[in-house]
Amino acid sequence: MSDRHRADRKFRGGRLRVLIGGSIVLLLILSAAFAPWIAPHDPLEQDLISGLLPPFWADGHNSVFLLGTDSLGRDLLSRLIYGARVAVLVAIIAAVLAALLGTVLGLLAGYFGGALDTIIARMVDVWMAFPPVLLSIVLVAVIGTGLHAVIIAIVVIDWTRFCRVIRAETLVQREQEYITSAVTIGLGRWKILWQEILPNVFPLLITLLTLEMGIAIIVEAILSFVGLSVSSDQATWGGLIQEGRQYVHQAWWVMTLPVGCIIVAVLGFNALGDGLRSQLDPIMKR
Amino acid sequence: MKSVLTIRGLNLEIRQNGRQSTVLRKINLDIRRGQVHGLVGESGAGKSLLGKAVLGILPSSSSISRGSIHFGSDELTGLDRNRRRLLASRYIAMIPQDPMTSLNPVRRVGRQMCDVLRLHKGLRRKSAQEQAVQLLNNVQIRDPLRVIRQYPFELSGGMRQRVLIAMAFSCEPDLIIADEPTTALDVTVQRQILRLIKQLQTESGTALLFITHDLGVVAKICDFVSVITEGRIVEQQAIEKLFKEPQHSYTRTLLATTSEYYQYDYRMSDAARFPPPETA
Repeated sequence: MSDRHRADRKFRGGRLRVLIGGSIVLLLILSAAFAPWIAPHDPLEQDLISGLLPPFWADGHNSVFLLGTDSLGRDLLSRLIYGARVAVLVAIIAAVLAALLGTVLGLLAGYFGGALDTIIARMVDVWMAFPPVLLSIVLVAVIGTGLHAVIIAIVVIDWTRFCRVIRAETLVQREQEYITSAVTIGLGRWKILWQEILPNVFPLLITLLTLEMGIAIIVEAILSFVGLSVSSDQATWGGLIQEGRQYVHQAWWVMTLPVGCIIVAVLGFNALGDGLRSQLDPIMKR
Repeated sequence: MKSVLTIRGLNLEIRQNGRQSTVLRKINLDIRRGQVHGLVGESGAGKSLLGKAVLGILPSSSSISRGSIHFGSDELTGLDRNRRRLLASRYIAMIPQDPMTSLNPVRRVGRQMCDVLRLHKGLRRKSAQEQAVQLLNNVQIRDPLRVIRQYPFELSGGMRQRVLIAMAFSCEPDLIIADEPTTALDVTVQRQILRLIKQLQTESGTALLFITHDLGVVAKICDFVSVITEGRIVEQQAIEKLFKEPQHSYTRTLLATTSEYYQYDYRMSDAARFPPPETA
């Protein structure tokens, strides 16, 4: 009974995590989608007289700028909201594309095995031997900066995460009895892969996808921190940290607030992914 | 009567760590139309491998080194993979050992039943669904309209085996290979499932190769028995003859242990008839 109890509690804990993670992610997506309507100011509008104003709870704040201003007097709250746009866009597009590439290769490698598997598995090994941050910086330097470059860099680096896990899971599923049944029924190999195996790796895929979105947000922040993301007049969280770094002794909030945003966002995605894993698992494996 | 399946001089080899070993030797087997042929042996005797060889789902480490498998007018060992699978999947069905793992856990039961019907009978989705309901009715599943929309984990082991039996009989195959179909089920359900298989087999006239380690089961369902041990068939007899005058010493040993077991079983059933008083 205690086993079942524990499973039950884990299940309910998963639901809580899905709820918390889900609301953070939803909030993030909504503020990204409706940035022009939510943001109180134009994120690029400068007001040089009110530079480096503190947020509303500190002395000397100006209630027009809720979370204070940066060195050029731009409203931090608005810049954070617009920064979420880039972060969410990159997170979703890059994670989905990486998942697509990695899943297809992982399924093929795991199911067909043989030379194809050897080639793909070795490729993943070699790929993962490169330090990812360095590789992404080199990639963007070669491709050129911009949103598409950031997305390509993340996809090129992170498809291996999906490929490895999906390949391993496909190997497990391939040996299951229901696959033998499908073979004796006479289903073709592609049909088996598509309709028997893919649905069984799907819960895992969803979990990986949400975790990858968190990772993509960090990578995007790193790239914009070193100035290799979108053009510098666009607000990004990484870019905000980079600017805030110079004034951290006079105005800690300029750097701290975007760091906080990144932490909350990544925590949100991770909680969602982790919760989904425990929510989807017992139903599928029962 | 005509043979559905004729196996002659079949040798099967397995490669393991670079060593070859012969696991089936000089197998001869005939299954006639409408016959229930039991294949009895202990674990590791090679009975499941023989079934797999007929179905064409041998593991890649094993190969048929000699002999022939005639199915109807076709020689299965000579066919290329695709044609063989086409033929086998249409005319040879399987009732698997473990109903718990033999259905895809994330697809609805009805969908999986429809796969077979659409593939081999060319039915459209809707008529396949109707046929699936009919098939579930035939295997005595209550409320089939609900069951086809359920997932395997919502069904009991006995019900899943019924679903798999329905699938096996769905396209009127010439031969069904049942590999220990009742081993994973509990005893009361075993009996019902055996009766169901026998009934459907009699109605359809399909030949059945029934693989089991349990002579008690053989006695209930089979017409003809092959006893296999260490990869060789040592005795082939009609069922009554096997139980009355077993020829081979191995068969006698097998029978002796079985009757011991059944005596024991009888004592057990005494206990079942007089259960201890229930405590509230």
